[in-house]
Amino acid sequence: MGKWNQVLTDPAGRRQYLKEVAAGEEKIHAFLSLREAEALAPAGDPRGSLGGMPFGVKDNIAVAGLPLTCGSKILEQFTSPFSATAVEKLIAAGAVPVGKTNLDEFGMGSSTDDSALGQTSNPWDLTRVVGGSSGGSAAAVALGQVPFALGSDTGGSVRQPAAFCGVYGLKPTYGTVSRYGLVAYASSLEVIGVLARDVDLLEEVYKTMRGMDPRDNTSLAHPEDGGSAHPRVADLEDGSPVGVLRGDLGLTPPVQAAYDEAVETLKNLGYPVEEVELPTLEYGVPAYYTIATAEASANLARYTGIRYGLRAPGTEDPDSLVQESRHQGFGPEVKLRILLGTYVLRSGFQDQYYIRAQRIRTAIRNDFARVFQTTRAVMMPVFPTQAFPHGEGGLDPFQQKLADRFTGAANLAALPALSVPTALKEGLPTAVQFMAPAFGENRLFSLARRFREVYPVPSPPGALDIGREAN
Amino acid sequence: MDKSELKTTAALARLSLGEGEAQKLTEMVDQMLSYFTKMREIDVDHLAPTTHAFQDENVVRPDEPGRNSPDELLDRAPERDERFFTIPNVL
Repeated sequence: MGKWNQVLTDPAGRRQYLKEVAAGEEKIHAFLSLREAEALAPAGDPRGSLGGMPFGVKDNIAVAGLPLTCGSKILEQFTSPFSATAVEKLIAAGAVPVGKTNLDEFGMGSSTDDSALGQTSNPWDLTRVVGGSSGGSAAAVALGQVPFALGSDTGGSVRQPAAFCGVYGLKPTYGTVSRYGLVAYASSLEVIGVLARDVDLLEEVYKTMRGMDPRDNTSLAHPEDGGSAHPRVADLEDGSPVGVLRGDLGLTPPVQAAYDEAVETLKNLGYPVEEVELPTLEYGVPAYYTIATAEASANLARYTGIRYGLRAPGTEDPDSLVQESRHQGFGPEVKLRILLGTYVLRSGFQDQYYIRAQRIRTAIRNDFARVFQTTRAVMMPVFPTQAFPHGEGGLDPFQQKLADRFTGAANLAALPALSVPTALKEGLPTAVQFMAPAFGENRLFSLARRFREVYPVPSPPGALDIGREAN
Repeated sequence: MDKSELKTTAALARLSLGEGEAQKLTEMVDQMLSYFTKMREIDVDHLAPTTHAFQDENVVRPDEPGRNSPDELLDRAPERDERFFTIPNVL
């Protein structure tokens, strides 16, 4: 973690730091807002484990006094009166939130191009997307503007941009990090996660953030912290195999090549490997989108133009005020998901869609439970493609959704998952992800540390030099 | 889904839509709904639905005042009259 500590402890350091971040912004535009130098003095313990260390926060996670736009016009002018519990814990450990990072509107998308407030570009190739929805966080970490950044992962939104940008991305076990201060999209699926170039730092940040929080009634104490009411990770014999998903996975040739190499790497590192099948995986995407949009339609009902956020001018009755404010404030992807979610919850359709999706969710959990009886973790791809181009040459919104098949399952089953960089192919990063049983994050960190011996984290062209000694 | 179904759904979602927008969204919603029919291929009738991964009972906390003052929240209203949010006339 070396040089990143104390970067922000003196005024000259803070000014210099912001100058370098601004230079990076001209290329990638990762941030929607940045604080002034005077505001960057550490508020917590300067000798804490993260003392004087800057970090980025996805702009759907609250930091007191900073904007909380969710990448949406409906919240463009909104500033948060309070901080998320996860952010408060990091501040107490000496870290400093330096700004808010770009995202697909309300976390809905896989490119960050669905932000209504600006376009972020991939540091590896500025004509390509960063992935999403935590794309600003991934880009800022990859270019070296911050050593770590927070994201949120509802169906892959931390892991996929991490894969596109060549950094680590952790989606923790559901409930281990408080969601208080995370703007709700799909409450039963989403969790605050971390992106970093250094797996040791990633682990430190996760362990600092996690813990039971009375303000989030779905939060849990991790068994390692003394939580006992929930299942522990099953004890497996040392040397139990790592499961590897095989078969026709529908990957592009460079991603397939990198994946095949990663399987060999596992073997070369001495892990016993067991090929596994997850037959429920192909039903995960429709189940995921049914549940996510249903929950979104309820969660986004709060944006009415009355209590906060954008209010459409000139309406003459309360109904038009609400309908017009939502019409003007939401982008097309958000409207699609609200409509879809409203439809699947309509009376008469629930059994066919929402309840059926929840039964499939049970089937997916059972599928993983079966696999984890004999394997300590499962390796699979993160996404079928590398970072795709902005605009027409890329994936359309429907193709992007279909491509969530490897990531959404971890959210449906509440499992921890970590995206780990592998070889560069055609000048762009590739990645694999490891999934473990609930509360098995340590297994993921251990695998990532071994992979680091073979796949050091790559640096994009023009990477900043602020904290590079750490790696 | 036809256009009148979309209109009913949009009304339930308190969302007004422009004419061209409604057309485009009808197509997009339709595409997703036909994709959702894939869920019929798997037999899950014998399984209980999962709503939340770990929660098996309700969780409560003490009913104590929060840290933010009412004014901090009222200050974020687009329009207010002292301690009230204002909206257009109801009648």
